[in-house]
Amino acid sequence: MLRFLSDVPVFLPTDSRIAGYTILNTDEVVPPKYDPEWEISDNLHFSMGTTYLTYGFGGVAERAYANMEGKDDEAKQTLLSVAHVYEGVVAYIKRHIEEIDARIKTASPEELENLAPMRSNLYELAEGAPKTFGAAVQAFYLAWKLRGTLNTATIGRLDQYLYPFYRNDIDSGRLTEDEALDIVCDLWKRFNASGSGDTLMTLTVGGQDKDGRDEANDLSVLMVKASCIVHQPEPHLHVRYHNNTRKDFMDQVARLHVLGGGQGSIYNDEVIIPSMVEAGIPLQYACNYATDGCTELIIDRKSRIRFTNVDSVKCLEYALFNGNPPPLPGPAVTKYWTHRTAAKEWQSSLVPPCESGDISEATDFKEVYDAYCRQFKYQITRKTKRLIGADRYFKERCVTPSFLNGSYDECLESGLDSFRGGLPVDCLMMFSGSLTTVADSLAALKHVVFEKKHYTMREVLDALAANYEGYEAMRRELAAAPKFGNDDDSVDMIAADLAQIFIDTTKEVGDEENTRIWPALLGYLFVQEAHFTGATPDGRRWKEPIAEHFSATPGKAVNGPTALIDSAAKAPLAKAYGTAPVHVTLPRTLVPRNEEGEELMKRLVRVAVKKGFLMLNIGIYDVDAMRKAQKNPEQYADLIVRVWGYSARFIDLSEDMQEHVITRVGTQG
Amino acid sequence: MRGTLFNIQRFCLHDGPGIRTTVFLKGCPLRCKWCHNPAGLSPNIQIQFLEDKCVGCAKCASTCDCHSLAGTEHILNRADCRKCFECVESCPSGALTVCGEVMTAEELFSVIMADKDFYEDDGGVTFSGGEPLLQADFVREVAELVRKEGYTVTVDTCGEVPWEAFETVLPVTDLFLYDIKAICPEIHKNATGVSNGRILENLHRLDACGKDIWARIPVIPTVNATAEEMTKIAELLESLSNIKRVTLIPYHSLGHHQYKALGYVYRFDTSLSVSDGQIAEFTEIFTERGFYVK
Ligand code: SF4
Ligand code: SF4
Repeated sequence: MLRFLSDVPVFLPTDSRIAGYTILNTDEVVPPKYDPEWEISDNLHFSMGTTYLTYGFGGVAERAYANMEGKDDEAKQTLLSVAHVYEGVVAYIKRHIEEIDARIKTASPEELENLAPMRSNLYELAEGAPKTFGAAVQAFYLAWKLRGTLNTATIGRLDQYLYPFYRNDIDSGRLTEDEALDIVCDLWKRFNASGSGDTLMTLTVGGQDKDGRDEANDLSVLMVKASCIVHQPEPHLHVRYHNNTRKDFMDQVARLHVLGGGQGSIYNDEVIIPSMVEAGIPLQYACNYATDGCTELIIDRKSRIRFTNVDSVKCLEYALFNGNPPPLPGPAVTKYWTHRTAAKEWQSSLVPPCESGDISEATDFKEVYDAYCRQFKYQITRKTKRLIGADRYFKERCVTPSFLNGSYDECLESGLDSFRGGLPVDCLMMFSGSLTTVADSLAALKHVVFEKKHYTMREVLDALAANYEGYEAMRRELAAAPKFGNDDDSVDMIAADLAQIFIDTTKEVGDEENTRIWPALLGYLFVQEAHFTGATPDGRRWKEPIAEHFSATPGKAVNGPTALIDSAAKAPLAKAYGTAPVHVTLPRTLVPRNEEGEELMKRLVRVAVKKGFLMLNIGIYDVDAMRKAQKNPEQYADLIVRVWGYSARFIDLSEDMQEHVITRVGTQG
Repeated sequence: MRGTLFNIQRFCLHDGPGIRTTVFLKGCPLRCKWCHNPAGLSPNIQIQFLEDKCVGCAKCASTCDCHSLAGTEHILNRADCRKCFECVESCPSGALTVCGEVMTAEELFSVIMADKDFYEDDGGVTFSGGEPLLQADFVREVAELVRKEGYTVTVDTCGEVPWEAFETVLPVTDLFLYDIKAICPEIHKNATGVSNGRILENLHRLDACGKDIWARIPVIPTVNATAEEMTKIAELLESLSNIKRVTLIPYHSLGHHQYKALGYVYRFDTSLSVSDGQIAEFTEIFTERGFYVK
């Protein structure tokens, strides 16, 4: 890292006051090679510590030296590396100052407007701990970039750890609110310049402390405001909500919601914190949760995270065919999340299936359901054990980059690596999303095969193996069976039960191994899973979408958002404290970008929270979705648009009306 | 008591204040040529056939003689239908469905209550249709239950019912959405099949009761989409004291394929439309008289 630091070029942007590179040209800088004995590991999915804000970069080095006294050899080594690296950072900062000084001589007045404050901030950091808000932001940005080096990482509770600096500046009259807002917007733009999309740039705002006091502060409000103003994909703003959340903060969040784009996902403190505490996480840490790079939860600056996934829909295929599924109709080739990456072939990360029972002659739904549960539990158990094994491996074999280690108060004091006792909370997480699609499939079998007796299991299995080719009537009948998301107990309760099984099984395995496993009803590879899983009994053909997280299968929730919220609320969402995201999508035509729309957003949040949701994401459909709906109407049956005095499903509209609505939305947007 | 309805839509945001559940009741005394909701016309339960869902499997034909298949084309003889709906049961694709449902007041009430958490202070139920006041006793019974829980009741009416029907629901209704199509009796008769004497009389009587009213005006080309007719409507509304809002609803041919599904023929000209400019012009007619138009 030290060698690396001396190679990282100085970068002074011309359109910002925050120094530090955005994207490193990897040809210019060769990342350091480490001692091959140890593997350096940082998955970037958890937030970095902030010792550098307390002591300054140089101060961290000093403390590291001081804390070496009386420690064992490993701790001494760890602290020494921390000291060296943080000294390197100070040198790196000084190089920036030199460069500014060289530039200032010839700078135009406009350039000076950025360079002067940049210099004073950097100077503060070269001398010691940041005192001003501007310097603290600069320190954060430098540290955050150096941690990720070639990638971006989780941000954590930025509104909390920058707040003292903000308050101080405002109280002393050094800074106005508008100036602070400019600084935050500037930072937001720098985030976006670092890339967008699956960047792990999640930032958690708001929340409560262990005494139930609201921690949303003026800076939290300002950050949400900045997101409204900058209106770009980064950072992914996540909002902690609780019953005492200050009103002006939630008002601002509602303003962010009506912009669409799904920003401002709500996390419900009221269920998350008690659930974590019940799982044995001490209250003071539970209150300090934040999102990791995605939607999973971590303890901000107090935990790492390691996770793995159980592909629940693939499990269903295994169960239906007794562990021996027919070949896919073709290769499971798709892209990750962006068109920028190349397509590749994907496969499930499940362990080889067990024989969960031959159900081809089943005459009772229970046989099918039990077979699924056997396969599902088998996979959960095996994968949880693997996760625990991987974690042990990492703890024995890996070290944390010194720069990261030194950022944590605990590591800096104890000299322990963040892998080995340095951080107070362990976070091992098991995911399983798309359980709702499994529930749709099981409910369809129950309804069509075992209640109506229109087909036998054998016939359905044949149809699945043929990807429904030659079985269109059957496919439609299965597709017309009850689906999750419409407030129909016959399917919602299956989804709820599967969620409970997942939560219980991860806990049982964890208990056996003396390890806390965080359960999460989430799956981020749902597009891939739809490709490596053949046709399913919900009438879905190979490659057609499966549900995302604990949301409805796309296009299947046709009774509006309130019914969807009621469906999801039947599951033990609160117990899945790793995270349990539910997406609600609304048409832009229903959500005007004004106070009326904001009021609606606030209501949805209030109700979802009251009903025990752990996480809620509100997306607002736009023209783009409607264009897709025209091509694939089956998948967009839940797209509701305002037509004239009432609303209707988009796909029910005539072509001309569709065009009309699109045009109308287009002009609004 | 039982009522006949054809749709219950949750999360409605435009049929009164707040978040509402809108209940569409069957049966209507008017025959507006442009009607977008033909399922509301007949008071009876009907069989509905959605052509594009049919897979031509002929299961219905083997259930009942009313169905036959010419090649893969499905033919339904509605005249002989006894409404046993066995064919619907037999149809695997969802092409055959029942339009309409009979429910008790308690059943309907429990569906409405499913969204009670969303209603908060201002939301509740809206009775629409069809013409909900053709089933005024039923509406009243359900409305009473809803009001008892503290939620609001809105009635969306065309006005073409005996005044007694209004009296039945008045004590349990917070807001009326009152459709006004035309002031000129000939225009009204021509477009809807009935004259507007009773409709306007009921509107005046309702206004005198002091209940809030939102006027809903469909803007229909070749019928009332003229400054002259809109001005007449505006002048009428001016003479009333409880019009809290005016909504202009521009014509669109939406729903005309539903006519076919129910065995009706759509007779309005689908090529007609109302321009944004016209709507702006008509809006002005109302706003300049101090109405809140939305
Ligand atoms: S409802 Fe009964 S009588 Fe009518 S078409 Fe269907 S099966 Fe025949
Ligand atoms: S049963 Fe249904 S799908 Fe089959 S021919 Fe009749 S209407 Fe069509």
